[in-house]
Amino acid sequence: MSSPVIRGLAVAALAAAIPALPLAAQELRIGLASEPSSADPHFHNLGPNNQLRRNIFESLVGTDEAQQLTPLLAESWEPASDTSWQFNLRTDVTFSDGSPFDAYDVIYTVCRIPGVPDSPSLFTTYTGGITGMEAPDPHTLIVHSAEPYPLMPTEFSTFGIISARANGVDVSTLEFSAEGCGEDLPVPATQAFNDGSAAIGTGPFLLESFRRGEGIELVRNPDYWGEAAPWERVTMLPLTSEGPRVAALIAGDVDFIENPPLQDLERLRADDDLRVVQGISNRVIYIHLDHAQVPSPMITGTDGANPLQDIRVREALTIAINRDAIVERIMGGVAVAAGELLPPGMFGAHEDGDLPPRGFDAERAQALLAEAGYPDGFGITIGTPNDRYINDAQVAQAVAQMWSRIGVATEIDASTASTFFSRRNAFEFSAYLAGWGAGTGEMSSPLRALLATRNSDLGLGGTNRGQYSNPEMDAVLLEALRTVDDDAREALLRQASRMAMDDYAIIPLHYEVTPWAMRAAVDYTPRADQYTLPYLISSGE
Amino acid sequence: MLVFLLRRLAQSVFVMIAMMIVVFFGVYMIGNPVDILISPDATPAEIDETMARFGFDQPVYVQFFRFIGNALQGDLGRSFVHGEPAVQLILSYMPATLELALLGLIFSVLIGVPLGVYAGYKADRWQGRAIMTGSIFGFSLPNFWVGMLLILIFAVELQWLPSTGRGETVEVLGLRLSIFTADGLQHMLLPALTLALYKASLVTRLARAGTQEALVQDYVKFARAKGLSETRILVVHVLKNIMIPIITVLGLELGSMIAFAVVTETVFAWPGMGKLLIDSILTLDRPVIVSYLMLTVIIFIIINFTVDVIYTLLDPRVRVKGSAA
Amino acid sequence: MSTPETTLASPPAVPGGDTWRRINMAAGLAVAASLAILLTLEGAVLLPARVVLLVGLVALAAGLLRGRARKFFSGPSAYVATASLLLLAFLAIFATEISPQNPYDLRQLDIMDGRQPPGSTNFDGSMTYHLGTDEQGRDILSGILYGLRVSLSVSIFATLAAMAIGVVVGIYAAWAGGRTDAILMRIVDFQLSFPSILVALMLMAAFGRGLDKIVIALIIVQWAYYARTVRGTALSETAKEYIDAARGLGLPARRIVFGHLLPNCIPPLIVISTVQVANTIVLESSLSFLGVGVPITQPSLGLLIANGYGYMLSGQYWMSMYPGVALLAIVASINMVGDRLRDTLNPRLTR
Repeated sequence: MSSPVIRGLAVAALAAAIPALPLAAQELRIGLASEPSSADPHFHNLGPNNQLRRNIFESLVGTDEAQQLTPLLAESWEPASDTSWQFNLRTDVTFSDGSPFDAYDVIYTVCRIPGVPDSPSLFTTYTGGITGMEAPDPHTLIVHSAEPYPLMPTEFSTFGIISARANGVDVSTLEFSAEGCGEDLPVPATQAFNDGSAAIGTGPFLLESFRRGEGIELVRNPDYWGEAAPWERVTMLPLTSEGPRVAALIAGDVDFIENPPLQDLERLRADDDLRVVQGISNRVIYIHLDHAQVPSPMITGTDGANPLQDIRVREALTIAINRDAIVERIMGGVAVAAGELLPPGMFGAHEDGDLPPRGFDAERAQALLAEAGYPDGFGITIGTPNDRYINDAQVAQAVAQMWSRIGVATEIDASTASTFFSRRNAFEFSAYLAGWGAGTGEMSSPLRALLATRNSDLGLGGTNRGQYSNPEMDAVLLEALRTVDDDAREALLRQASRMAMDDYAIIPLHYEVTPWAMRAAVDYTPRADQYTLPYLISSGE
Repeated sequence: MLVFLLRRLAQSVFVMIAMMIVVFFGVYMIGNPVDILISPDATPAEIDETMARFGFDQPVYVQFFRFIGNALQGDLGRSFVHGEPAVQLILSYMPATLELALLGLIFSVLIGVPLGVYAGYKADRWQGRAIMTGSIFGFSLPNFWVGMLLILIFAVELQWLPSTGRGETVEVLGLRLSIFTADGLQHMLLPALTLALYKASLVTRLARAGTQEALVQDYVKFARAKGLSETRILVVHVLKNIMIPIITVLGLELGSMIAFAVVTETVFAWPGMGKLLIDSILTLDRPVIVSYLMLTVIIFIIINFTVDVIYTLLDPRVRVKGSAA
Repeated sequence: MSTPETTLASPPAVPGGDTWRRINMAAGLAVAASLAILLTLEGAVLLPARVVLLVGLVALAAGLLRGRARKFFSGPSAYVATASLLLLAFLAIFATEISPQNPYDLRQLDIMDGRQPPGSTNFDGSMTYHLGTDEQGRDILSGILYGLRVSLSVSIFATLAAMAIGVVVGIYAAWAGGRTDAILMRIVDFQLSFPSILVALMLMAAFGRGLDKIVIALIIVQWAYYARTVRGTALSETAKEYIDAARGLGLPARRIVFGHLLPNCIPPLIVISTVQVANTIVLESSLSFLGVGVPITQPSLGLLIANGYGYMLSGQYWMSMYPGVALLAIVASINMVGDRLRDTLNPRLTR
């Protein structure tokens, strides 16, 4: 064979001759499971983007591993009145270009958020409730809302702050208005963040390069106000294919990977050179049932009736599922059976054991079906994505097995997320499997989105595609959303959650557990928000 | 020749327009990108507002005419996902793909043609049969499987080659390329081999078939009678005569290697166009998909045109009739 | 494949009387029809259709080999390949009767039996999983038998249909030339530039999920490939003197095309089509890998491989290895038989 091949082989032989290099000191290479779509912190409200943003652009309020709020750019906060919050900002923070950080930067950021051009998902979700902002002094910020807004500090943990001065703003003229802060306010373009020129933040890392498909490079911020990041340089490579991502870790091409597939954890754990950590996430996997449509589109054998409107049928379908078996066999033990929509330990969830997962009882399920008038069951199809959640289609298939065994002949309609969500939102399914990650880390998030009666004006029930409606639960939930006192609010949220679960409104299956795998020389504390944050990856030295 | 070229170009414009229309409506039919892209936390009002911002609240024909209007002014839109002009986005992924496809093509010819000619020469001997049987492995296993296997063997077990990524790159004529650095070339070997495997076995089989047929032709008998060496007969006479089907097929395969190396690029995390395409399809990033496939049309047309020209060079009697094709 | 020295030697007509031609045609139709029936019923048990399929296939093969059997069976490898192809076809056609388990019936599966290594038994010991199970508790052996059936029928049907369309378009384009050629080839260009996953997604969005949609998607994706290849060969053939001579003799176009052009375009096509049957199976598995393949509760060979692929690193090799071996076996026997056939039938090797 001719020369290029021979040359190729020579290169290969050469590579073999060089022993695997030890982990370059101070440098960390991470294999990402999904790639951020932009380096602009306000362009796309999406997990991978928010994860990247936290390294470069800090928010006022931080969150810890369990998603409890912690001080970050704001040292403290407290309600200033029924409808306003006061944030006391740090005084020792500067942006990476040297400009000082103060309240005007926060106002400027909130001004920019609604106007990011071409954004597929704006951060107005978190800032839309702000009716006014003022800075009595540069390091005190008062934020007003129309209604009591207990979640305001949580909202301020979701977006990163950019510098007003670095973008050429005269802060003395900056004035917040909910309708817009003025046409001529200079704002950076998304492109300027991607090429690095506008990537000026207060975070522990600086953006060195952002190359789509190839990787993101971060370097340590030498002037960081807090504890310096443990890594001089961090390279994040998008390795979206599972097997190759694991292979890259084993082969030593990366030091740390996100979401190793569950089936490989055993092998990774057995390897002395590697370490696996895992922690429960804020994401519940559930099956939502069609409560409203008669006849329901994917139900057969009921003469047009919708059996899911009968609580006995819903209970039967719930207890026909052996959650422990799914956790054990499909999820490889790396998941936790769910009794409600948020795992124990998070705000508004029941204490461990107070609202346990429903037990498995196939006989009682069959009896309930007979009682409801379906002794021979009926036919149903579960819609599920097949590329969105951990083992999603496999879990749906396991549920189909279990339902089939109590007489409910179950089919699976698995499609890619690209078609699944559009079809779900068009109410095409009688039952569908999906997941919900509580971005705010507390119970109002899933209740408001998945179970509250659909109401555009109040922003309720946005993802309630089973069209469940329970006015009594709605009332308790709305009460909770207005209650600023934490203890009272938590009690109300628990009450609302229990009401929904007692009504078998939705079928919680399990909480995802997020694994990370890395070389034994590094360590990471698992996070409920599933983020991989390099400044928290310790070098173990 | 010039008329031939111009006519081909004019026809190509029609193909591109057809592509634009079919893809636009096809992607519209698959689903609504906002359903996938927007944060689940978004309120219904925000969803409506986002739909309006992208113009998705309009009837599809209004969206289409707006798109056509912009396209006529040379604007194929911005990526929904990345917020950048779609064409610019695609072009930024292109060098990585082109160099990989080129290496894949080289591999498939260098492996396929010699093996095939030899197998044809020894058609009824064990060597020929062994090559034919071996070539079956090349096309009967899925790409993702082969790729993973290569990673397992060469990166994980032997640790000879890097498992994924692009490696070191250098700027050549304004393009960032890996092929000119030792590190980059190492990164390219496994994905290029994965890409080439199927093509190489196809070429092997075509070359064998052609050689076998050519060897019984009179001109080979004449050449032998004249006392020419077997090597010279194979290399000069046979090779030239078996190239038409091989070039046809390689032309097709080169196009698909450039445009649709989806699986290989995904498995090896190679930052090429194929990966962009699959990501865009899965997020229904319509401007990118439409622009991408229009570009693909151009690529295929260029390749097919080149192949037609090569036909006439290899065999002057092939008249591409009316010079219109 | 043009050779300056092939002058007026037109290829010998395919021997065989009218009776055989009719039987062949009938067998071909029967095979196509029963494949179509099996595909639309998606794995339903329809014994008559399957018996017709087997008989039709054998008749077709016999027809092809009539008078040339000795040349075909000229070595031991031909016997081995033919026997294994027949065996695999038999297994695929009668998978329902042979399989220890119906892998498509969710009630027969239990995730508690999932990911069992080869040779283990289920919890009450009533069944042994000779090749292990997948994560749903699906017996891999049964899965392979059923999957073989799905993969084979899908790929054979899709390949035949795509080839038929491609040959017609390709030859017509080369023969007609000029504007017709240009239009047809631009349609081919259009089709070639269209990714298979997008075709599959669009079909699914329009008509829902199912085996028949996958078949249609595979036909749409592949016909242009044949058209392009056939046109290339046909162009070089039409340029030859014997065609000119035939035209000069005033033979009707129909006779030139079917009697001379078509037979000469067939040999390279057989090479491609046997490769392509395999490629179709592989393409289908790639679609499954990308999440747009056959329904997950009715795995094909390709889907089994794609599913088991995730377990390659974890040591549970049997989930993708055995289906992979089955795929290799079927592809190898199809191709070895195809190679023999090509050598046997090729008019240009008979001198």
